[in-house]
Amino acid sequence: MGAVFPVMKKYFRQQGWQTERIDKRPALRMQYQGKSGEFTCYAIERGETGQFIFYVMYPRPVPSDKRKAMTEFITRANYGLVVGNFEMDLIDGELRYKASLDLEGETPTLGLIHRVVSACVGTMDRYYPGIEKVISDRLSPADVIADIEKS
Amino acid sequence: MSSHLLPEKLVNRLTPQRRRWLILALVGLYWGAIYLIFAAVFLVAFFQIGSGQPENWAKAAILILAGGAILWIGMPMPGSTAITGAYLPPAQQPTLHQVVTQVASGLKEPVPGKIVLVLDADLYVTESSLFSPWLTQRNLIIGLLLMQTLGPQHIQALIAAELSALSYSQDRVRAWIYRHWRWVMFESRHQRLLWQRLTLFRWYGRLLASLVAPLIRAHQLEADQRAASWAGSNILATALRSRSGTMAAYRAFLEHEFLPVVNAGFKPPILEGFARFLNSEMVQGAVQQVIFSESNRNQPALFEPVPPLGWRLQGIQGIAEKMDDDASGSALRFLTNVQVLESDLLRQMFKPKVVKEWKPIDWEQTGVKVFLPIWQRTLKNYAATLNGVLAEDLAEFLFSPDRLWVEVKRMSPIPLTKQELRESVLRVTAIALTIALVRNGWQVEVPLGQAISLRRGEEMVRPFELLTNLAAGKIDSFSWRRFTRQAGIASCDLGRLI
Repeated sequence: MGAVFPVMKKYFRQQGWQTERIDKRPALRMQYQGKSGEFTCYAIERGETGQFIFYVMYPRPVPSDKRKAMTEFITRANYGLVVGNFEMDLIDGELRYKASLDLEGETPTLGLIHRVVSACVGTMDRYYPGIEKVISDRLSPADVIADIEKS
Repeated sequence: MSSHLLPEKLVNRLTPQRRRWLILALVGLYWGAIYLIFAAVFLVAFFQIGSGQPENWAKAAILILAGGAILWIGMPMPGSTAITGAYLPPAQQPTLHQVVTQVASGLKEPVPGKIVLVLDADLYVTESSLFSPWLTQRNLIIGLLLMQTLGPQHIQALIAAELSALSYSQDRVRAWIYRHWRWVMFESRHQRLLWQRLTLFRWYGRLLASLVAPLIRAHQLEADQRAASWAGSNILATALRSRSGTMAAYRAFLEHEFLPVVNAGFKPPILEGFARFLNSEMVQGAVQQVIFSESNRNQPALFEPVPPLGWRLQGIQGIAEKMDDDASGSALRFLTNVQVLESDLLRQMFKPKVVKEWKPIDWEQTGVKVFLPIWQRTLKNYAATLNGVLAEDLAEFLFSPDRLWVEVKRMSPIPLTKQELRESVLRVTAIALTIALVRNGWQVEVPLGQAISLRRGEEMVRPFELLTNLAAGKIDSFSWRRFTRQAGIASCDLGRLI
């Protein structure tokens, strides 16, 4: 375990998040209730050099017939995002938002962790209604993105 | 402990004099608070006695005891002696004691009261308490694997550096500050008492740490210079570099070689194994890399009291060059009955009852007796996803291993990156290939610190390497099919091996 894990544990404790340690790994699982939905999140420390990754998982796999439209949606969404990105596994339709820090021996701080976590949950919460619309075939990915980014 | 309470820039701007005054004020503040509480409790007790009513005397006695307890638990004690290792009395290990005494007298430092051998690759000196913070003794903790790897002169140089680092104990004020700092750091981390969970106590710890850590680092650099002038700067530099590499190698040896074997119920020869592990080309390369990056690290971690290796090497450059004749020897010559010590250490590290049940094993046998059963258990979990995949079709399978990919994701408790997923898929496939080859008469070998290999007569393959090359397109599917036919596994269904 590196220097990041104690800091991320402290961050979530301070923020009042209920976290669960996964298999004695430097990783935490938690639920986040946003304005538009509830998401499972993972905070993970990787490697000895101190990488921090935060994932917000979309709750269901994207159906196989909607993956093409979702690919367009996340490509449009990702363009211009500063911290993190959406990613989808075309094999099983897993969709998640991810942001990370590569500290490489630098000192991790609560502020750095906060910026990554808030970018992740904020972006997933913002785009979540759009993802639902694309899956339910109500609007084209381009229209959905235009709606989200106008607001 | 996550961040400085005082920004590092501000701490660095303070003159050493001001920093010292600030530290003294902080330590004084702590002791002032403890004594104030004690005095208040004692005063109340005094008034109870002064009231002249005998029924209040019991209350007063309880208060005095409580005051004493507050004073006692708030008092910084030197570190605990709870180290898992074998105590080496002078009667049993006269040569080592003689060497340590010689180093200590050369530096005019007190001789450690206790030498403890541990199954590790480190060497350090601690102070332990004999019932009170004033009665302390030094303990030399010495790693058996470090003694095997380093030469006699190098071990002596490290002992000299570690003993010198404790030279502050001859200066009462510094000793008190350092002891206080160590205790506060330990207690803020472990929070054994309720009042230590107070934010105020943690803030105090951080404030003290941000001021004391640079002082201790400077002190260690001075200690290194003293040790270098006694042992030779070239010898101490080699010893510091070797220790850094050996410690990293030891962690890898423990995790990848030693623990899987003992967890399977076997007792391998540790010293022999570690020497062979260190001699492998792959490990030597990795050790050199660790030494290089450690030597070039010039930023200490937060609150880290030990200066980075780069600073230490720079600090002792050219102090006193001495003849280094340690090239071929090992410091194990300072010990008698090494084999017995190795067994003793295993019993200390694990429970004696557990060690008694372990069966002796040679490192050559670990492939068949330890690793093959582990791989068989792993493959069992993924067998369904490999059903119908023939060994000769692996090139096509690795192009889109969808079922296995999804199963690896399902089995993982945390989300994986694409790189991690690829590596896991390759690992499972390589395990299947290994088992297929073993079932067709190939002999598995797990050489220490080297890639797993399989042999049949003069032929030798490294399955993990082979599949990495196949997935990367360095082997074409035609060559692959030819290989599987020659190896006798072409039509082997990888999902039906278990």
